[in-house]
Amino acid sequence: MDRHPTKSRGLAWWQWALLPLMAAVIVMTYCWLGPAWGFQDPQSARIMIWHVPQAMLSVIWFGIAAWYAGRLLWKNGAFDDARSAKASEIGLILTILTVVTGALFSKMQWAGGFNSPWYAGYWQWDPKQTCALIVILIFGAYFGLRMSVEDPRTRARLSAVYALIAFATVPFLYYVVPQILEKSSLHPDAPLFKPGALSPSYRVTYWLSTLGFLGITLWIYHLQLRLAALVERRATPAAGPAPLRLEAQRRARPQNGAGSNGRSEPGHAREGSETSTGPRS
Amino acid sequence: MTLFVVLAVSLLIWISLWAYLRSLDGRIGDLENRE
Repeated sequence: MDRHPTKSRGLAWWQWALLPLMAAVIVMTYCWLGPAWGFQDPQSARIMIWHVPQAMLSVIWFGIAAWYAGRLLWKNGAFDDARSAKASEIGLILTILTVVTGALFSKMQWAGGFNSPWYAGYWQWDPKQTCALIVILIFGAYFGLRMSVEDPRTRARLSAVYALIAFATVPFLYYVVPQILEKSSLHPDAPLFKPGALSPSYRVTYWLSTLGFLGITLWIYHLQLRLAALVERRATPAAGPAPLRLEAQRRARPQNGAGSNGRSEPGHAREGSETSTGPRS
Repeated sequence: MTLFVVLAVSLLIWISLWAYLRSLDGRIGDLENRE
C-alpha cells in the first residue's frame, strides 16, 4: 500500500545533530565571519547566510512538489497528493522567509539602513524581489485552488496539474527574468559563489546553513506527512478488526447497500468510492 | 554589541523552534502508537 511510514521510534540521529549544527551556524555568522566588505553595510550583509539558502531550498521544495504531482498524474499514487501539497507548503514558507530577509537586506543595503525612516526602504521593486513576490502569489493561488475543491480526487488532480505549471514558472522567474533585467537589478552578482568576492569562511557558513535549513524543512515535511497519514488512516479504516465504536454504529444502522461501512463523519470522501467528481457548485 | 544581541536572540529562537519540533514529533509519535 502506498503509505508514508508512521511508526515513531524517537528522534533520528540527524534530528539531534540539527541542534548543534544550526547553533554553530548562528555563532559562526555573528562571531566568526568578518564583515562582508564590498557591501554598503558590511555587518548586516551577514543576513545572506539565511536569505540565500532559503531561496535555493524553496526552488528545491517546489521541485519536489512538482515531482510528486507528476507521479500522481502518472501512477495515481494514493499518498502523492499529500506529498506534493506539503512540499509546496514548505516551498511557500521558504519563499516568504526569503522575501522577509530580502526586505531587511534591502533596507540596510539599498536604502541607507537606519539613516532612512523606519517604514522606508524594504521594497525596491528589484527584479528578484518582485519575481519572488510573484512566486508567492502563484503558490498562494495553488492553496486557494485546493481549498475551493471539496472532492479529494478532483482536488488532487487539479492541484497536481497546477503544481506542475507553477513549478515551470519558478526557474523562469528566479533566473531568467533577473538575467534579462540585470542592468536594473540591485542584487549583487552571486557574491557567495564568485571566487574571491567574499572570504572562504562565508562559503563554508553558507553551505552549513543550507544543510541546516534542509534538515529543518525535511523534519517539518516528515511530521506533516505522518500527520496526513494518521488523518487518512482514521478516515479510511484498514481491513481488520474495527474499533468498538464503529462496530456499534454499523450494527445500529440498517444495511443500505454496498459501500456503506457506517462511517458518519461529514466531509470524508472514501478512497475508491463513487462520489461526484465535479467541483462544488 | 548589536551582533551579540542578534546572536543571543537567534540562538533563543532556534533552540525554541528545535524544542517545539521535538515535542511535536513526540506527540505525533504518541498518536501513532495509540493506533
